[in-house]
Amino acid sequence: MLKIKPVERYAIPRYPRGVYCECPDFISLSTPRGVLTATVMAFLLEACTGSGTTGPPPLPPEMVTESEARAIIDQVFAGNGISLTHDVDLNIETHPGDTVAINVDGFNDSLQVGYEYLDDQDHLIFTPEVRAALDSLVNESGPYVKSIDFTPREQAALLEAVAQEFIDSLRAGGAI
Amino acid sequence: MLESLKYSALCLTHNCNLRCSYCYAGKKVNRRMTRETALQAIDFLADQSDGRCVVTFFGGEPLLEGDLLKEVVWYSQKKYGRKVDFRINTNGTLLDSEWLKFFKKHGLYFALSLDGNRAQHDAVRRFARGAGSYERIADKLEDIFEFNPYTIAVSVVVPETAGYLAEGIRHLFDRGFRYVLQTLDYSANWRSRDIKQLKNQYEKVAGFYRQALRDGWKIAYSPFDERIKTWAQKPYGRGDLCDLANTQIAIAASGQIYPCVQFIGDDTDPYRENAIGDVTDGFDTDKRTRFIEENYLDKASCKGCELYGRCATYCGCVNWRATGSVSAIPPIICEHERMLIPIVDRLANSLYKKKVPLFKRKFYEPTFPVSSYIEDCLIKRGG
Repeated sequence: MLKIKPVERYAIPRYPRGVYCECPDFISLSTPRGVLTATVMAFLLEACTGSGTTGPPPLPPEMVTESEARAIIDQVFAGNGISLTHDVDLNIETHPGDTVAINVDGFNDSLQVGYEYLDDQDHLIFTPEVRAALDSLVNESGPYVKSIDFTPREQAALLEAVAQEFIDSLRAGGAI
Repeated sequence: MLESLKYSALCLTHNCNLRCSYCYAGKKVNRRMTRETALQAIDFLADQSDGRCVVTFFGGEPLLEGDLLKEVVWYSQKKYGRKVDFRINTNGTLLDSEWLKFFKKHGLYFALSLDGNRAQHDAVRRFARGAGSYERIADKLEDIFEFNPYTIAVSVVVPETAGYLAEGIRHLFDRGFRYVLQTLDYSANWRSRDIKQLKNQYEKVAGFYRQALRDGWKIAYSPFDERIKTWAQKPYGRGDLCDLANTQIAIAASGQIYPCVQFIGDDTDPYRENAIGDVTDGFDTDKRTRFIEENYLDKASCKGCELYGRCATYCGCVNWRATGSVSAIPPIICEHERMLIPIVDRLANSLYKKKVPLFKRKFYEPTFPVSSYIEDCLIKRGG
């Protein structure tokens, strides 16, 4: 049955709010989001001076960028005789009759093999549900798309290993 | 609260040569607006507007009253110049080169009701004798785009045609439309499985739309564009989506004034209870104000919703058609928006992430409509 159901939590879109933005007056400090924002901002400001009780914030590790990852992973596929096209659109069935449109970093259309390197922007599209669907398809009839996690630069060599292991497993299973 | 009029529908007739399954215009009878009422309506609208008033000819099918339509245009342009601008909502079956010449001469633009591909369109938009109307319209598209390459296609989706949505949209853009305005028939009997089907279809359209923008194809699809704008530009505020009875009204063939064209029906009881005046005596201010106030109410059922301001719950006309109350939201709207807005945001996220130039121009450049038009002229000239 259809119903009216307020959305209590919604991930903030990643594309920018424009210069035209006049936030409706119901988004104020009285709303949970307003309070949360104010709290986070206070926390960060305190932490930035180094004098707050939380101390300076830890530096995030440097991560392998998408273009760097592509260079590494493409080379592994090429070394195995598989050429890839970048930014390929696919429709993935997450539940019967339910599909999600995704765009993957590298894909070979005739072999139905590819990968997606999940940087910090991708989680909104590659939700746990989508990743589970992709993993399930790898074990069935394809398409065979390996989703590879955002990787710290110091562990970049892992990318090669993950890609090669993926290709080896597909060969062993007779998929390619 | 009462503002000057900006938009009015002018219903020239209740008659129509089609029998579309979702039509809200009531029984198709040969009841037309008289010449006297039509000219009185124009005088009333010009008087009630401080600035420009856009009048859209409606029906039934307004081209069935071609002589009256022309007389109204001549009268208005002679007396009021461009203070009153005209548009037409037409099913397109009666358009011909003579009409297009008239429209061009008098600066009239029209939106064409075309639901999608032949299967989708003919499933619901048939002539009175039962034949589909797609072919009659499709033959005219070349001339229509010659007249105005930016002609809008207006498409309505019902549960029975939801499965054709993606294919239909692709078809419309492939046929040459640059703007597709699509909405659901919210008063239809929607079920959960229809929502799932719609989700599937919108995902497919998202894939096509993403590629189209990457390719520099300047298309606009209202379910996506309008929702992206509610984040990229400005959320919906009161009166943005629907300002019924305030800056927008509708005038029935009898001269009765209604809050919006969706309230007219066949202009007899019980529809007549919603009339807020007539062109002879003017507005019934109390009734008018009550409609406005109700439309502007904050929706209690939406309290705490993170999507408030991004969804279509402000449209009092749609609410009224589906629930009988301007302020009561039909569940189908909520389900539809909760399903659609995440799809649209994922699409916009990916277009932004991939730095697609047309995405940035469309949604963040205030001068895009003008710069795009100039671009198109230059391309056409260059040939």
